[in-house]
Amino acid sequence: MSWYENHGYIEDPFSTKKGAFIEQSIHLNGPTEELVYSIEAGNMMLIEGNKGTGKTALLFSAIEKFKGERKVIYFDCNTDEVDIKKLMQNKYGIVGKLLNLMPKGMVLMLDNFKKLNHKELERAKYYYDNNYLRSIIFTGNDSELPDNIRDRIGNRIIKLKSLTTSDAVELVRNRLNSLEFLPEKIIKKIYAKSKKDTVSFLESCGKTCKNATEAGESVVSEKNLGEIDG
Amino acid sequence: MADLWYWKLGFSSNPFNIKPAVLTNELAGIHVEPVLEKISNNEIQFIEAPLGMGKTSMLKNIISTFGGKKKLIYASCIKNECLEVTDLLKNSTLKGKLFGQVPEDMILMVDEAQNISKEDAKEITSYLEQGNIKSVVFFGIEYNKKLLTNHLNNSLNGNIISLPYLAPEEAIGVVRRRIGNLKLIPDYVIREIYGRSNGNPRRLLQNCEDICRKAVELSISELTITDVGTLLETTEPAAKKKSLKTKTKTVKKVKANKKNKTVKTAKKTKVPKKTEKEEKTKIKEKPVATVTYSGYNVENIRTYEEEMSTGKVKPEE
Repeated sequence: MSWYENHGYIEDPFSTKKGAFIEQSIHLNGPTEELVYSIEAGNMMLIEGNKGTGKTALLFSAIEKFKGERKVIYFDCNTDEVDIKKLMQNKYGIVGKLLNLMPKGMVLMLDNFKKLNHKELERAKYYYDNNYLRSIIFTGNDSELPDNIRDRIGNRIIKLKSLTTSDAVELVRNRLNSLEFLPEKIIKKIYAKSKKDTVSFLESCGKTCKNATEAGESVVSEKNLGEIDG
Repeated sequence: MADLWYWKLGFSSNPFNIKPAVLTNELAGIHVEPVLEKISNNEIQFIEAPLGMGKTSMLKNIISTFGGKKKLIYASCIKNECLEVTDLLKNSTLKGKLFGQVPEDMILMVDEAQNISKEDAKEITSYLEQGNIKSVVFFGIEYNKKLLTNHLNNSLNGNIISLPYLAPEEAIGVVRRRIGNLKLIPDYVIREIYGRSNGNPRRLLQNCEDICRKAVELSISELTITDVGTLLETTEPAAKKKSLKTKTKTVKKVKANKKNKTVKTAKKTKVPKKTEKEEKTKIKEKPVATVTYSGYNVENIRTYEEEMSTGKVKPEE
C-alpha cells in the first residue's frame, strides 16, 4: 500500500506526469489564455522557460481546450525522431497515407524543439506557410530557432517564470486539498531546496510524505525532510 | 475563450494572419510579371530581401501560375545540408520515379538560398548546362557571390532583384485589403503603425493584430495615434529586440569576467541606463497623449517622405 492510499487519495497527488492536475495550476491561467488565442488566430508562438516552470503543462492545458477536434498534434522531440509529414497524415489513418492526403488547419505543438533537426523545422515552416498548419507552438530556447522562423514568431513569446514560494504552497494545497499533513513551513523548506524546479519539488514532496507515513507520523516534521537530502 | 476580437468585428478568422498570401493572392508593392517573363526567357534570377518582406508570398504566386504542370520544383535550403537536386528532378515525374529518367526543361525555385552549399550550386550548374533545368530562381536574404559557381554568377548578371520596402500607401492598401473599410483603424493610424514597423509587411501585420486585439479588449471604437503609442509600448518588437540584445551582451560579459568579482557592479550600473532610455522615450511620447483625433497637432504627423526615410534607415542600421 502506498503512502497516499493511507491518507485516502486514489492517485499520487504529487504526480509529475505530463498534464497531470493541469486544471489546478493557477499561475498558468493567463499564459493559457494567451496561447489559446494564438492558436485560434493562427500565429506561431514560442514558450520559453527554465526546466520545470510548466511549459508542457501549459501545452496540455491548451490541448484541453481543443479536445475532440482532432486538430492538435503534440510531439515531444526529446523522445523520438519526428516526421511531421507522417504525423499530419496519421489524421486520416491508412487511407491518408495511400492517397497522400494532407489535412488543413492543424495545430502543431513541438515540445523541446531543440532536438529537432533543421530539415523538419523547414518542413514545418513550409506547412505553416501553406496553411496546412494553422499554428505552431514551440517550447524551448529562443536562440536556437533559425532566423526565418524567429521572424515569423516576432514578439509572440510567452516567458514562464518559476514559481514563487507562495505559488508552491498554493500548488500543494490544491493537490492535497488540505495542508494538515504537510505544513506550510515544510513546503517552503522543500521548495527552497528544489532550486525552483517544480518537477523536483513535487518529487521531493512525495518522498517526504512517503517517509513520514512509513515512520508512522501524523504530521510531516523536519526530521522527514532531512531524509530526502541524505 | 468565447469572444475573440476579430469575431466581434465580424471576421471569422484572424484578418492579420502573417501566413504569406493566405487570404488574398495579391502582392503589395511587388511586381511578379518581370520575374515570370524572365522565367519564360530561361534566365536565372536571384531575389534578395530581408526576412518578412514577401519572398515566400512571391514564391507562392509564381508556383500558382506554373503549378500543376509538373514543370516546377520547389526546394528549400537548410544550413549544412545537401539539396539533392538529382532526387528532386527524378521524383518530379512518374517516368523519373520508375526508370530514373531525368526530365527536361524544369524550373527550379530555391528558397533560403543564403544557405546553399557549393556542391548544390555545382549540381545545379551541371543540370543547367545539360538542359534539364531551364530556369532557376533563387530566393535569399542576401546575394553572395562566393556561394554560387562562376557560371551561375555570370548568368545572374543583372538579374539580382531586391524587393523594395513597403511604401506607406501600399501599407494602407495591405491592411485595407484585409479588413475593408473598418472604422476601428483610420488611415493615419495605419500610417503610424507602419512607421513603427520598419517598412516590413510582416511586422506591420503583427503590430496591427496586437493593436486591434487590445483595442477591442478595451472597447475602443476608433483608434488614435496616441492609442498606437500606448498600446504598442508594451509590444513593440524593436524595443524588445534591443533589450534582448543588451541582455545577451551582459550575459556574455558576465561569462567572460566570471573570475572577477566586479561583475555584479558592472551589471548594476548597466541596468539603470536602459531604464533611463526607456523613460526618455516614454516622456517623448507622453505629450502626444493630449492630442486626439478631432484636433491633432500637425507637428506630430509625419509626412510620407519622413516615413519613407525612417522606414529605410532603420533596417540598414
